[in-house]
Amino acid sequence: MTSEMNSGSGAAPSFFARKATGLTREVSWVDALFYNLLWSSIPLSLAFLLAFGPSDFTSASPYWTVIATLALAIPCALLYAMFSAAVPRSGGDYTWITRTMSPVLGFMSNVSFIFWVTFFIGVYAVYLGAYGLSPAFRVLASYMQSPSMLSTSNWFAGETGSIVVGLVVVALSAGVLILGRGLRTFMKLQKWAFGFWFLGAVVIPFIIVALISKGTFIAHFNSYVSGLGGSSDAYAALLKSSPPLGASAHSLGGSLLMMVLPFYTIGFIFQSTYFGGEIKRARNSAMKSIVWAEAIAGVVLLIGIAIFGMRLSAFMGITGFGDFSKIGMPAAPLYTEVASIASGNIVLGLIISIGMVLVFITWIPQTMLLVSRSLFAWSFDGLLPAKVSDVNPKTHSPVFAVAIISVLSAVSVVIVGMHPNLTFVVGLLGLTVTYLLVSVAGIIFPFRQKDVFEASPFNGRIGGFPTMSLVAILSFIGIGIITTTLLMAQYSGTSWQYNRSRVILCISIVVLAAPLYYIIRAIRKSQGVNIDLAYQEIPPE
Amino acid sequence: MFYAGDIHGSEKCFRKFINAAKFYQVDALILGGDISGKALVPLVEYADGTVKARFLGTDHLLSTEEEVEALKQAIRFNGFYPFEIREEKLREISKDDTSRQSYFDQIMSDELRRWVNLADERLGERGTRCLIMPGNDDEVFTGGVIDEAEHVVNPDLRVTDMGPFQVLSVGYSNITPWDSPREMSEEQLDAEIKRLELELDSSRPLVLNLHVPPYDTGLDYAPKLRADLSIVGGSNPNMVPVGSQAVRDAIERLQPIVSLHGHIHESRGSVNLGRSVAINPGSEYNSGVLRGVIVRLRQDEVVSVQFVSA
Repeated sequence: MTSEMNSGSGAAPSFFARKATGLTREVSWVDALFYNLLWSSIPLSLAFLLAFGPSDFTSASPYWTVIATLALAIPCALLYAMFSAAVPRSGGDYTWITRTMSPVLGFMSNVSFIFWVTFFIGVYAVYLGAYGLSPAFRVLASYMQSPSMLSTSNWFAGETGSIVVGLVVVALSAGVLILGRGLRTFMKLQKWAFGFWFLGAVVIPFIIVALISKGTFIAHFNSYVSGLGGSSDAYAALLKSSPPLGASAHSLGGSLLMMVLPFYTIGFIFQSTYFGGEIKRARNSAMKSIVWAEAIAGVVLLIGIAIFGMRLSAFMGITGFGDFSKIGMPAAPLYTEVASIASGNIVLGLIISIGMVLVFITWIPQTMLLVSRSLFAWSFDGLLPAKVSDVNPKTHSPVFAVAIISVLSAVSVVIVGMHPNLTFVVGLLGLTVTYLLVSVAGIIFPFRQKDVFEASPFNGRIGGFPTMSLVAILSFIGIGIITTTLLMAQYSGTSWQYNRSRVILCISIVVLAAPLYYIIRAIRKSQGVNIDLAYQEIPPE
Repeated sequence: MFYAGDIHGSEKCFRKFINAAKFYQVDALILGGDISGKALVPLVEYADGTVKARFLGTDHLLSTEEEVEALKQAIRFNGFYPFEIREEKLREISKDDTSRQSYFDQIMSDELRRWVNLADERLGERGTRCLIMPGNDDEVFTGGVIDEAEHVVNPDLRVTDMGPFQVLSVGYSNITPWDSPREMSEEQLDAEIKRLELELDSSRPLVLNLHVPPYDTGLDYAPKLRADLSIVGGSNPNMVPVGSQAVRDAIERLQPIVSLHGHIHESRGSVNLGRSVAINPGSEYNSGVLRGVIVRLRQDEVVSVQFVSA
């Protein structure tokens, strides 16, 4: 039986659909937008820009930095959306590069990606302690004048606290992912978390700081520090011990070097493409969601910089370098704690604190899910045992894969917890390697996978040259420039001059994946499985 | 042997399927159901000689034979059937369900006949055993078209030979929300499988070729749907088992060396049920990717199972 469908623009009827399985409605692009906004940690980028921008990147204009990062990173985001639409499969860069360039390059790229996002699970565990729970308990300590709350706050910021918290969150995430009957329970929790996150870490802090007068802020700050057992005239004492930096002229070079801070968000706002296509083939959803996510992230960052810069410029500058311990505060506050202080209200302070806590807590299980998609892809191609992609019939969850990811995450938590100096954007360089390889794959994709490209919704040409290849070239240039700034900026954490061993580590991860691939290939061959077949396309002629 | 399913009209996937015999050096090919495309795309000829079509959200105005052929190829690549039709004829069949259905049945028959002839020609020369079975999404007449083949075998609702192995095949699915052409109740499925069991030779190893996967095994999770076929939960779907209990019972009862399934594109994987390995290679037909599985068998055991996305 057939039925007539959509007549399009009034010209010819689009198509006649038969009664057949699978003709469900399109998934809303808003769902993908929601995931991308949550994973990209906009509040963290804003916090870095406000705290470390003025002190570590003195000749940078934060506005131009955000705009430049958007301009340079968006082609890569668009390329991911185009790839996702053309090849809507799990595995992201691994799938695209193995099928377009070579299996070993795809494996190298994805090993690097997996290594560094797993590394970031440890980073987020430390952030959860230091920037999430510690400030939350500090807010309670001040408003309740409770020394025990302050001790708890300090414990969360320390090595033991961050490791314990990280391990607990990893265990809880694993529990939700294993026992939550697939993704359902987690996704429900995530929706609520997003609401609190946006309200607590974005909307309320912006409104409070936009409306507060300088005098009121100083009074609230003094009261806050006093509540922690510090000086009753803390604001003046802070200015005396750490005078604000003088204004210096902005330069293009300085602004570009600071891109390492907003890149933290803007460069990682399209990861829904790693599994967005597996449920529904919403071919245009990825593109819409990514463009809107980049736009919203850009607007939030620019508004945040404007509000805090205009209202509390001198104070925010000091948060990056000032010695707050001299006035009785154990650590410099991030913008969210500044907003909590400005509110002068324990309830608002707590809502803001919870918003920031949720930024970190939701990121960990989200990332564990992301890693699981790559493990699935490896398993299906025969690089890992089939057991890794097994779905438990009782829990409907990939128990074995989640167990592997949990162990790797726990190791990351312990390592980063013991070496918190690794946290500051160290992994970004490793992730740009993947982006560069995807860019190269994008350039040649329309030529190597001509049929797939032609059948995709983004198969246009400009002057006869595939638009996707042009976007990929821009992506390579953009990510190349950002990679250069990561190597050049003194405070990027991966400066070639100051952190050479870390740069070598990033390169080593990629390079060492090659022999690993060939070892796995040899082992599988001895078991009668030729994994080369998994990557080869049967000629359709 | 190489097994794939759910190619849903993709010309590219079908040609890959045929060529898989040589490419993977296998002795047998099985296409486990859902061969037909899900939609037909008209290329409308207007009185002024122009041809118009709307495909993947884009309006096409075609003025040369080459352009028409290129669009037809892109349509086939995506698993749809292109057909050229005059504007007046299109208007005529649009008003009458019966004549439209008959028109479309003819188009689908012709396309399938062309495929089967191609398979006959290529695999007959090579001597590769080839089973092509209709699934639940294929119209009832589909089996008859495959039966016309000289070399290709339609194994649906039969026990057929594949070298030393015997293959019990059922292409019907349990009831789906789509009211697809070839569905059965669980009781009917159970009865059909039990009827075929009577034809089995207990001394020969058995392969099951059942389009619908076994219930609640991880091979059958699909998004839960509302009555209007929209997904419950949007992009956070509630994945529920939709396989067949009758199929699961059959695997547990008969313990074949391998049980091959399709139907649920999202649930690619393999699972052990007792001594049997049940496999669903999934489907990615509308990307032109043939998802399949190479199963190496030796006497009465599975040597290896390898998923491929070709």
